[in-house]
Amino acid sequence: MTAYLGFRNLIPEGTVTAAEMEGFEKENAFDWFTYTWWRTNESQQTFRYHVEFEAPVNVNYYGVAAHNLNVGGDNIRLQYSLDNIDWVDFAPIHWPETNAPIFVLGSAPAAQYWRFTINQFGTEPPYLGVLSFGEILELPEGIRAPFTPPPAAVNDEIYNMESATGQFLGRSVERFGYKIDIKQDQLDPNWIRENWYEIAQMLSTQAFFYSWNQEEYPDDAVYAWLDDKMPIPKYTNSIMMEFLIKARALHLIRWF
Amino acid sequence: MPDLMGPEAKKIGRQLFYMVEIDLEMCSNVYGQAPCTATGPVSTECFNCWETCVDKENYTQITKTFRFVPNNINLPIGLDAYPCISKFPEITPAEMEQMKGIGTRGACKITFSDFEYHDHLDPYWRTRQQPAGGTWWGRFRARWPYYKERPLRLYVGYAQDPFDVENMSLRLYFIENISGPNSKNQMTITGKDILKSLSDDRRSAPTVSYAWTTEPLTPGETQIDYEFDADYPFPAGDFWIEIGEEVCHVTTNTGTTLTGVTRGAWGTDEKEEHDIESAIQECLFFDSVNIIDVVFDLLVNYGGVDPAYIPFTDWEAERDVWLLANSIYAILAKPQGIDQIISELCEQHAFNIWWDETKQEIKLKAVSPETLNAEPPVFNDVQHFLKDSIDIRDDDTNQITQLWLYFGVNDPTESLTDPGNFQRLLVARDFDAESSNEFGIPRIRKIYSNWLAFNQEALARTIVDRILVKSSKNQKKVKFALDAKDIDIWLGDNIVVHSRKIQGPDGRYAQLQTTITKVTEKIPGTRYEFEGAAIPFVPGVRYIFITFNDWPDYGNATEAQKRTGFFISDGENAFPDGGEPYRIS
Repeated sequence: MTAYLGFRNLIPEGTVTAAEMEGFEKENAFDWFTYTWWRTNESQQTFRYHVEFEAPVNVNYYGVAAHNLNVGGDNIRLQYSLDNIDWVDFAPIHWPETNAPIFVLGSAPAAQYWRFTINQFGTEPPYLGVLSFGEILELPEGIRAPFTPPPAAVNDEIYNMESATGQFLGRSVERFGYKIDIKQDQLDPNWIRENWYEIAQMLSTQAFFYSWNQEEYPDDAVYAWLDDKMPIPKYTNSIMMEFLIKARALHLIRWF
Repeated sequence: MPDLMGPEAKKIGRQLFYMVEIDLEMCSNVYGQAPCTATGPVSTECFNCWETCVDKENYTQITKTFRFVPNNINLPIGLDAYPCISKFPEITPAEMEQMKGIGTRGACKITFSDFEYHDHLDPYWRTRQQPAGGTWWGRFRARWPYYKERPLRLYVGYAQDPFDVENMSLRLYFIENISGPNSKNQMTITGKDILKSLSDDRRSAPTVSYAWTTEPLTPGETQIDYEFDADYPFPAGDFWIEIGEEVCHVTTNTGTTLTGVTRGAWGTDEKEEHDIESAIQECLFFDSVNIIDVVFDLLVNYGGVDPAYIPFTDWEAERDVWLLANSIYAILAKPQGIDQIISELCEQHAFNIWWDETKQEIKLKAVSPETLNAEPPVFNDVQHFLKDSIDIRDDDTNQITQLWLYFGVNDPTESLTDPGNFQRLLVARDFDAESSNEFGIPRIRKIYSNWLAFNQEALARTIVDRILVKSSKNQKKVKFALDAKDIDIWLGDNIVVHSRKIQGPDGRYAQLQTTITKVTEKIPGTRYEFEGAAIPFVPGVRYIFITFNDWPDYGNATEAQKRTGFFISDGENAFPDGGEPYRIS
C-alpha cells in the first residue's frame, strides 16, 4: 500500500507540438487549472500531444485530470521514443470509464521524445484539462486510520425543504468537490529535510495528483490542491516528524 | 405561468448550478493587419479593446461575452467560464407597488474572487515578451472601463448531463456598477433591471431641444425667427413648442423660421415679450392616444428600451379588457424624467408596470377586480409553504377610503400639484369603511392628474371606483416561502393562500386571495420568499362581464364561462345545475 504524489511535470520544460482549437490552446494542458482545456482541431481519429526535450528525461508516471474521455469512449496512453520515429507505450492503453482523474505508473528508459496519443471514438474531440508526466514522489509511509478514501470524501452542502406541517418537500445539493487529508507521521527527519522544501513549493504554486493506495485502488487517485494554510511539519518526538496536508480534490465530476 | 425551474426542480438532490454572463465589446481586427493601421513592434500590441485601441477609426466592434461560474462546484467539462463567483448571487427583487409607477427596481449583486491567470484572454499572449502580471480582474478593469447598461445574464438551474444552458432559468439585468477589489480581494458587479435606465437623470420626454430665438417675440406675432443646434432639429411642421412658459402651436418650420404660430395655447398666457435668445423647447403632445401606446412610445422612443422586451400583444389583451377607454389627450411642455412620467400615468390611470427578469419582459396590468372570479392556484401548509415562513399581518399603508381626483389641468407649465390649476374635482368615498362600524377614520389620497382631460369624467369615475375597491378595506400583507418545485408563480400573479393562520369566524381554515408583489430568491434554485397583498373579498359582490354573442346558454356554458359571464335566470329559481341566480346590486 504505497501513496504517491505526482506533481513534477516535465511538459513545461519541453517544446510542445499539438493541433489546437481557438480558446483551447495546448498550453492550457499544463497550466494546472481545471477550467481551461486543450482540445484538438484535428478531424482524424488519432491525434497526439507531442513534447520534445533537449535531452532525455526520466518519467515514471503520467496524470490526466478534468477530462471527458469517457463520454465518447476514447482512450489515451503515454508513449516515448528515443529517435522520434519508433514509439513505445509507456503503459497499457487506458480506457477511462468515468471522468475521474487518471494516474498511471510505469517505467521507461530516459527518452528525449514523449507524446500522449488519444484515440477518439466519439463524435467530438475530448477536452483535456490537465496533462502531466515526470517523476513520482513516493511517500515513505502508508496512510493510517482513521482515514476516508478520497472518492468517499465528498464535500456537499445540503439544503432540505420542509413544509409548515413537517412534510419533506425537496432538497438541493451544492457540490464543493472533495476534501481530503494527506497525513504522514513517524517520518524520518532526514526525509523531511530532503523533500519538504520541494513539497512546500509545489503546494503553494500548483496542484498535484495523489494516490493513497496505487497497488490496490488506482481508481481512487485524485487531482488535488492545497485548501488551507501551508502545512508545517513538526517533530512528534525526538526522532520522528509528521505533517498533515489538507486539500481540496477533484475525483468524479458528478452531474445528474 | 409555466414552470420556471423546469422538471429538475422536483428531483430530490437536485444539484445547484448558476452562471453569469456579461456582454462587453472588443475589436475583431488583428493588430497591424488591414483594416487596422496600427504599427508597433511585437509585444506592444493593443488588447483588442476600445480602451487600448490605437486605431479607433478602424475599430470594428463585436460582442465579447465573459462567463463566470461558482468557484466551488464541479464545472461542466469544456464550458468556457471562469470559476470565480464566491457566493450566491444576492438578488434584490423587484417590488410591485400598486399604482405607484414602476415600483422598486430589481437588482442583483454578484461577488467574485480575484485570481491569478496566465492571460490567454490577451489575443497576443504568445508573442508578448513578458508574461502577464497582475490578476484577472485587475487587468479586466483596466481594459474594460466602460460597462454601464451592458447586459448581465444570470442563469439559475441545476446540473444536468449533458450541460445545456437552455435548461436553465434566465434572469436579465443590465450592469449598473463594477467595483473592487475590496480589502478581501473581491469584485462585485451590480446589475439592475431595464427600468433603471429610465431614471430621471438618464432619459427624459420630450427630448431636450437646443434652439433659441434670434429676434424678440412680441404679442400677436405669429412668426418666430430662430437658430438651432444641428443635433436637435425641429420637425417640418404641426408641432407644439414652449417658450418662457407659453405654449404655442407651429404650422410650418422653414429651418430658420417658425410660421403659422398660434400663441398662448393650452391655457398658457401669451407673454408680453420674449427676449432674443429665448430658449425654445419642443413639446410632446398625445392626441387621444390609448394609454398602452403612450407607455410604449415613452419606453421605446424616449427611454431607449428595446421593443423586444415589451410583450405588446399581452398589453393589447389587457387593454381590450380593462383599458380601452383610457386615452390620453395631454401635452408635456418641458422635459421630464421617463420614470416620473410613467409613475404618474400608473397612479392616474390605475395600472402597474414592472420588469419580469425571468421572462425578460416589461409587464403591464390594470388595477382590476377580475381576479375575484379567476381560478388561481391554491397553496397550503401541507404541500407548499415552508416551515416557519407564513406571516400575515394587517397593512393599512396603502389604504384609501376617500379619493380626491383633480383633473383637467389649466396650464401645464404651472404647478401640477396646485388644486387651483385644475378645472375638475371628483371625490369618491367608501362611507362604510369610514363609519364607526369599520375603520372609523378616513384615509384620504389626492391625485392631481395632468393625464386626464377635463371632459374625461366617465373614465375618471371608473378609475376612482377601481382604486377604492382595491384599497378601501381588508389590507393584509402575506409572506411565505416555497420550494423551487412550486415556482410556477411570480410577480404579479394571483394565488389563494390556505393556511391555519387564516381562519374564519368559526375557526375553520379560510382562504385569502393574494397578488404577489415581491419575490426573493433566497437560495437560488431552492428557496423562494414571497410577499403578497391580499385582494379584499367583498361578500356578495361578484364581477362579471357581458358575454359575447356566440356564448351558449347557461346550461351549456363551461365552468369558466359561468364564472365570468353574465347569465339571466327566471329570477326566482336556481339555474338547472343548482347555481344561484346572479343578482345585480
